[in-house]
Amino acid sequence: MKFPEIKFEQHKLSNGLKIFLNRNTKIPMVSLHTMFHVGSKDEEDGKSGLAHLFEHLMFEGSPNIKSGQFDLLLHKRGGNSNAYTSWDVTSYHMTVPSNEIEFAFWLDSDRYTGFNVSEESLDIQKDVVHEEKMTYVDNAPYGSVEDEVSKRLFFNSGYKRPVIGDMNDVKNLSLSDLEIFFNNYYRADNSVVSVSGDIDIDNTLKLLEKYYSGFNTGNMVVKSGYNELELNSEIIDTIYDKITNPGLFITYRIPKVGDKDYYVFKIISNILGDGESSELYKDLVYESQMCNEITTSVYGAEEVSILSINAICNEGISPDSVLKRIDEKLEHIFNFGLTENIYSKVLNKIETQFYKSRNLINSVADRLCYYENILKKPDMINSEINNYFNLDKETLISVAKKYLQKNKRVVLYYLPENK
Amino acid sequence: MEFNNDLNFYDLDRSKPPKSKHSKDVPFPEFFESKSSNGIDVIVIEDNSLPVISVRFVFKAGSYFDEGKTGLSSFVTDMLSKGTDEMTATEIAEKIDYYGATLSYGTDSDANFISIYTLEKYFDKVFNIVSSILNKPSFKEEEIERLRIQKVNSIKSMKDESDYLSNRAFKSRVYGDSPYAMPVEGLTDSVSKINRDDIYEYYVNNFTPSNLIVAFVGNISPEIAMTYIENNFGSQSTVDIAEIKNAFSFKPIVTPEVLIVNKKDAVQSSLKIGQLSVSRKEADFFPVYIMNNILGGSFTSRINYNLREKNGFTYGARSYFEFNKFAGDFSVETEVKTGITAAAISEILKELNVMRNEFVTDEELTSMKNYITGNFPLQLETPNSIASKVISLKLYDLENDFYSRYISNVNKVTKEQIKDAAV
Repeated sequence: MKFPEIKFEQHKLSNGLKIFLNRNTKIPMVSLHTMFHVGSKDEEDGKSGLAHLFEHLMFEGSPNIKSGQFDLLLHKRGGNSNAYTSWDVTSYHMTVPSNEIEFAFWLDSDRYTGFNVSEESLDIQKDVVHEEKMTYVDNAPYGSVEDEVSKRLFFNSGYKRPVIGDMNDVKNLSLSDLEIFFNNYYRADNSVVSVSGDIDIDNTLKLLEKYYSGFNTGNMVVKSGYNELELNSEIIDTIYDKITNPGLFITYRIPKVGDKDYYVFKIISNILGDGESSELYKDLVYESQMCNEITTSVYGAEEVSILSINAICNEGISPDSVLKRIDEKLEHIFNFGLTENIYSKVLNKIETQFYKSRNLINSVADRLCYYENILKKPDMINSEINNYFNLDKETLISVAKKYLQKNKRVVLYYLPENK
Repeated sequence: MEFNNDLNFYDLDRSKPPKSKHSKDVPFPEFFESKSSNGIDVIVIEDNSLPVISVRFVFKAGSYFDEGKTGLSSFVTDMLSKGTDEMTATEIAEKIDYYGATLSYGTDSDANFISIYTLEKYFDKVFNIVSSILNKPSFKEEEIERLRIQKVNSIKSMKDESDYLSNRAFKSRVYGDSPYAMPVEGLTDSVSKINRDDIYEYYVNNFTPSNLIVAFVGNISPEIAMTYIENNFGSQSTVDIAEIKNAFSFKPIVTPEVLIVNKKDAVQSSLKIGQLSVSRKEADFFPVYIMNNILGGSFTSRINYNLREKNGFTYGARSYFEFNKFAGDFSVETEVKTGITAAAISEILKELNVMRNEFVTDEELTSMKNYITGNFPLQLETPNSIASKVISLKLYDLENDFYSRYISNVNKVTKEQIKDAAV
């Protein structure tokens, strides 16, 4: 099968910074992404939450921009910005009208040329992060799942902590911790810049050289390697939460992003939980009505990925009965394989989904940075889709069987408190 | 764009921001619109860049027409794909998924939505399924009971969320006895009582050609789109319904009130502060929109700046106008640690008072106009987001040139108008 390609150019600035450019003139706007190859998994024990807090502080002042000015200046030029931190990367992005591209480069790059954040900004952003955690974790039903899963599924790598970190660690982070982090990781050899949208390639390159060649260069601190231990027995635990309906959260360790076996699980996840005719939805939500919701997903990461099966039970249904049913379903697939019908269905779905956010300037810029940082293969933006179509049913089943074993998973039951 | 060809970075002065270059005009894209022989509004946005097509069916009805049976409208929409005269619920789900298509549906207070997204090569097959769903739903008792169990369980789960509780309390006080006071998905009691006759009656009265807007987006021409509409929906008789009238009166609250919903063990308070406002059509849209963006509708707004960036009270605070067809409301929302609830409320009230009593600065007004107009093209990036805009013109009876005059209308707003909009 042949899929339409996204054209992009790859360049290097004089300081070694990698640049990706994609011209798309559909709307007169430009998307700029700067992504650093550092995330929460690179934090030391006791300093969790550093990468994410640092991301907040990148909006709180830089050598030429005062605290509180970043977004005001940007809005005035018709742009907007945001950022995210994951286990593996920290990414900053901006979208501006194409006549403001030089302004965007000026504003974005200034914060990478030097660390200039005050004690007061640090204290306020610690409070903001604490509120962020309360909103999405402490005060949200089933909000602690990510936290509870990470610490059981991993124990000898940074993947054992959720990105936001432990609030006691965050409270104790100092400006000097942040400055050391900045000097170690915010540098030309540890980042990628991509620009997608209504651009003139030559002039964009000249402007990038002008504004981004001031990045730090030199020897980077070597990151500690990934050294996670095998899971040898199934972990089953019960968590009591402020909820009405019980929940079941099953997670397996699966291969890292880009590995050919990784795509097996994207397909398995789709077969199990995507759409009303998917295997688990049909059985548990529609036919037996044991569950109110069931979702399956793959979270891809640099060293290892996660397949999750999440179910919210209907009233009076216990999560262990749902677990039993899911295991029977998986067992059936392992023993009898997939029908031709199920296999054609999933490939049709993957083909349709491929087009969903294709060609959008923000998504193209983000993906180019990500594939370069994590895989050193920017062309994955075009070639990744082939990984799905190059698989066959037999390989799929044998790989799924190998990874989806009970002794390699974490199972969490969420039950209502005081009941 | 003119560039200095001699870019010497050793001369770079970072202390001053680069000047803006000339901006480009952003015309609203052309779209096709027509009416079928029986009165269906058809919109087509042809885009051949990718081999996919989406079709959205929007019925101008929604939960406003629940008639005391809270949750009925949403129940009916969800029932459509649960069996037709030709296919069972399982067969429908199986076929849609087999073609790799997506069928989505939903309900809000003023409309019922059903949409499909499919590869162009399976369009004909997928369109036939959705046409069967809309024309011949069977509403079988067994499927009604199944959906009831799902809905009741979801509603119970929603009560675990504190913002659901604050929103419920706010809406029921602001909108009095009108359907806007009630949640679209219904309440456990009301959903338990919905029966097949209610469902059928709502369907017959509201899923009519004269209520219907259909938008095609993607690899399809207007001629072919019109043929699909005429062949599948053109034979339905046009029911002459009297013009929809607003049957409810909305009364503003005169003296400020505080409603408290006690949620045991919550670590944050979910706040919602606001009042009754006007309908989408009555709203003086541009002044109201800009005023709200300055007040609490954007990241750099006064309320977010005050509560998040200055005080660290919250991860985010926002204000917005929710415009419905017959009435609207304005509110400020945020989540804060329970111990600082009072301090947060007092800061929000302070910002509301300043906005009512003082002019915004010229700097704030110019900046916000630039922000809104500068970001506008991003909303025209996909044919689907253009379609949403065109649908909203039809749904709320707005002028057809609303979006083509959007940027110039934003730029015309004065600070006097902003102050009026805040009162």
